[in-house]
Amino acid sequence: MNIIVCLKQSPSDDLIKFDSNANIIRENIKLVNNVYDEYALENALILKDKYGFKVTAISMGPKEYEDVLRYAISKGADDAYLITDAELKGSDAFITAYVLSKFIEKITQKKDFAVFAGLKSQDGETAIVPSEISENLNIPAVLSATCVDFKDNNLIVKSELNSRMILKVSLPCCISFNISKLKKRVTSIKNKLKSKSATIPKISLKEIGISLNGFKDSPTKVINLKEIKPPGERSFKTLDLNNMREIEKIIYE
Amino acid sequence: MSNKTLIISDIYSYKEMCYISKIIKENITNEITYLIISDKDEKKFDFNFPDGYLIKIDNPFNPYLKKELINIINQTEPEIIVSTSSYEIKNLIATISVDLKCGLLTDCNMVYMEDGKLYAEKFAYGGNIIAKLVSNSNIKIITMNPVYEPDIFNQKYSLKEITLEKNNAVELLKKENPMDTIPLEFAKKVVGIGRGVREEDIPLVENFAKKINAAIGYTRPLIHQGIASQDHQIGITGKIISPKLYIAIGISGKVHHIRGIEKSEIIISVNIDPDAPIKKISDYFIICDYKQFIEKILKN
Repeated sequence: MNIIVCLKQSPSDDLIKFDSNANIIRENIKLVNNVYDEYALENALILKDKYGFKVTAISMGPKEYEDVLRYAISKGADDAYLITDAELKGSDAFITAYVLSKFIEKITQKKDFAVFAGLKSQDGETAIVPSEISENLNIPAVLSATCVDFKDNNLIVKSELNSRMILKVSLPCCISFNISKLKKRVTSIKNKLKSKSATIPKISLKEIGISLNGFKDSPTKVINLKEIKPPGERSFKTLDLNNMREIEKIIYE
Repeated sequence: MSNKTLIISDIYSYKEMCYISKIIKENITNEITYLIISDKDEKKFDFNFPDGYLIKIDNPFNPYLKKELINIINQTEPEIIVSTSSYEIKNLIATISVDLKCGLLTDCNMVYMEDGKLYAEKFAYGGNIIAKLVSNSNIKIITMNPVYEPDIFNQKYSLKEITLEKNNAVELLKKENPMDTIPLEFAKKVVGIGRGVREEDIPLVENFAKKINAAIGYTRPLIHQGIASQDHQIGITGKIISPKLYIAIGISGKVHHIRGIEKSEIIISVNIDPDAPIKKISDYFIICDYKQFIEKILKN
């Protein structure tokens, strides 16, 4: 089986800055691996270790995203592809999921595969792309997995949402992963070297066999952005540990 | 255009559904059909239900759920679909958006009409900016961020009940329902923990919350570190809370977080940094080491 792991990068929580037109300043911004995706990768690698599955890392975005794919190889992914094309600029979730699905279809021939992704991106946090991929590929989806195993050609998935569930999911399927207590593996020297020398193919829309434009074809659009007033200020009273009686009165009231 | 609207909610998001209903009635239309998805007997819930459909379900990932929803959409022919924002519901909404080939606007706070066109608004870029959004698809599909409204239905209507068949593609083997603790959004007192709290001190802060009978929430970076599960995140993309008392421990005050707590009646913040931005939205700003503060409270 081939496990396709979808990865991306996002600006670190601290570092998002805006220019006077409320656009994100993208120059010289430090990108970090999307934390949720790292759990998708680790779970895929655990299955690889146990059952010998192939793990393929994919990403869609600017050429800087190559870093997260090299990271995936350094952890043990077998190969990696970056979908990157000027026409993809401005893609919304609907288009993103469509392009990823078409590429997954192409590399797996729709046979013997599973798609692993992070529950959501840590910047946008919409959490809809994995579900949209599953629908494009017409395979079942389970969200917020914390643990996964393989048995009789099914995946046994532990999902933690409002309730904790154990589900048997038939393959192929799409699973999104939540942050869990799972420890991420140490990088081996062999994989570290492999990640440095690996060729990461850059895939254009033409190579996937689709033609679209992210701005024009995305069904949802941002009309405008307006700066809003900062949250309501209050006239605060400064206290310290000498005012404990007053503080306790407020706390226990 | 009649703007017929279908509102979709799970049973646990009832108060969010009431808020959505209020917004739609005020800004869009009175022609609303409701779909409630429940894994519990609705008679156990102490509120009124609107007119509409009820799908009883054990397994939120049952692929037949989408099929039933498509049936309901075909019967009721909505032009607008608005849903609450739990992951289970978002999963369902995302799959039908692909199925119907319609775009999806997620995590909005507001929907309204302008010159006969539907627009939605959401917080962007950490909460300093409001983005105005439009969907060019035939059916406008929107998920709304959690905002709560008390029961607005003053009469019990009958829900048309639909039971789903089991589907072998995703089979539920075991399920544990959540413990009956008070969810963050309904708690009267909440203690928030931020990055200023050292990881080894978190049990201490949790003890403090227990002692004063408060629920506990965390800022986004702590959730990303895996300290607690998503339903304990306070902020724009987590829970928007409105307790009588909010105590922020070691929280600097990023807008993402502030927008989640600004409806609190009283805000106390405890911070060692006299310039922490959170002071500006606090009623009481206590400058000290949080450990000493908590130890003093626990002692009494």
